[in-house]
This record gives sequence, C-alpha cells and structure tokens, in this order.
Amino acid sequence: MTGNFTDLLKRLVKAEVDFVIVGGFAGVAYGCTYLTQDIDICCDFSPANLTRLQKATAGLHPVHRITPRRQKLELTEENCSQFKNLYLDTDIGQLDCLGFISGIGDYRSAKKVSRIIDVEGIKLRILNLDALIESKKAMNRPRDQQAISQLEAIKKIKKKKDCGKR
Amino acid sequence: MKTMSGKKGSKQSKTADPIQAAIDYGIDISMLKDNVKRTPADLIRRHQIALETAEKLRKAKGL
Repeated sequence: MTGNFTDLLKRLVKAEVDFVIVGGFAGVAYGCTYLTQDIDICCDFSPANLTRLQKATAGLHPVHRITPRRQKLELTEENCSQFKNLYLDTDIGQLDCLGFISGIGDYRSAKKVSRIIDVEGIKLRILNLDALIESKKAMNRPRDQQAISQLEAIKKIKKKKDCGKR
Repeated sequence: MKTMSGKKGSKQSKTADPIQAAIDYGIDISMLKDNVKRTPADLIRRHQIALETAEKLRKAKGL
C-alpha cells in the first residue's frame, strides 16, 4: 500500500498536532530525487499532543508497526509518558513520530530551526535546509549519505539561484 | 578569480564543491536543478505519483 502523505499531514494539522516534518520526506520537499515510504515527524510528546495525534489518526487503524503483534495505537494520559518514539502504520501510510532528532534535539529545538511551507492550502512546519543536513550528518547511516550529498548540492544550487536574482 | 587546473585542482574541486561532489556520487544534478525550481507542494505531489507508480509496477510484476 502506498501512503497518501498529504492526506495524513492534513489530518495532523486539522487536529492541531504540534509537529515538524523531518527526515527523508523533508528532503523530498526540498527537491531530493529519492522515494520514501514513510513520513518522519518530530513532535511534542506531551500527553495533550499525543492525544491530538491519536485523534488525527482515528479511523485509519493506526498500529505500532514494530511490535510483533502490530498492536493498536491506544494512548492514554497514563501510558503516554512511556513512549519516546512512535512507529506507526495507518491505512494511508507509515508515520514515524520522533521525540528527539539527532543533531537537533527535541520538538522545541526542531521548531526553532524550522520553516513553514504551504501544501494545498495547509501550512506545514518543516526543518530548514541547514538543520535537515545537520540531522542527516548526525545520523550518518549509509542511507543518509546520498541524502546529504543531494541536500548539500540543493543548497548550493539554491544559493546560486538566489545570487542570480540580485 | 582563482581557477582550478591540473590534477591537484581537480581533486580540490571534488571535495569543496557540493555540486561536483554530488556528480561524483552519481547524482543526476539536472534533476536537482529542475526540482529547485518547483514548489514544495509540487515536489510532494510528484513524489506521490512516483510512489504510486512504483507500487503499481511492484504489483504488476507480482513481487
């Protein structure tokens, strides 16, 4: 099943979930050419925000995709504090909710180095290009190398383009 | 203006210039240049189409 990422993001915004788009999907929004099958978001892991996240994904049969039995997402005020990350699968795509981003920090730190983009009329918060590169460098997994290479090149191309405008 | 020539210069440009580094990595720079001109909304829309196409191909091949 392919994800309908825009729909998933719209649901999060509509439910007022506090999040920043990070990871591979953020790279796509900047122009990276690879395909990614999930959305990574850095979000506030407060019980209130996780409750909104649960509300946003209600009806999409969200499950913890890494648990052996793919347990249903059933967040309560009490169990919210036990999660640092949530790796979810829903009817319209995989959603990885991260409480901490390597090289950046938690949601509040990620928000400080983010910008707003407009996608089909919705305002989405996304890591800025420099922060995205920093996070990829901090992760430094083999699969991050291609993303770093593309993002560094995109940064240079954008810089040249902006200089040309002046 | 400084110019790079000779073996030593070429080696320096490969490490210092991100565009050259990406080319050396095997990345199609023309695609990146095209993408930089597009809006995030358009890039996300095109990614969605590519993802759906890849899924159709996977299903067609029965993989």
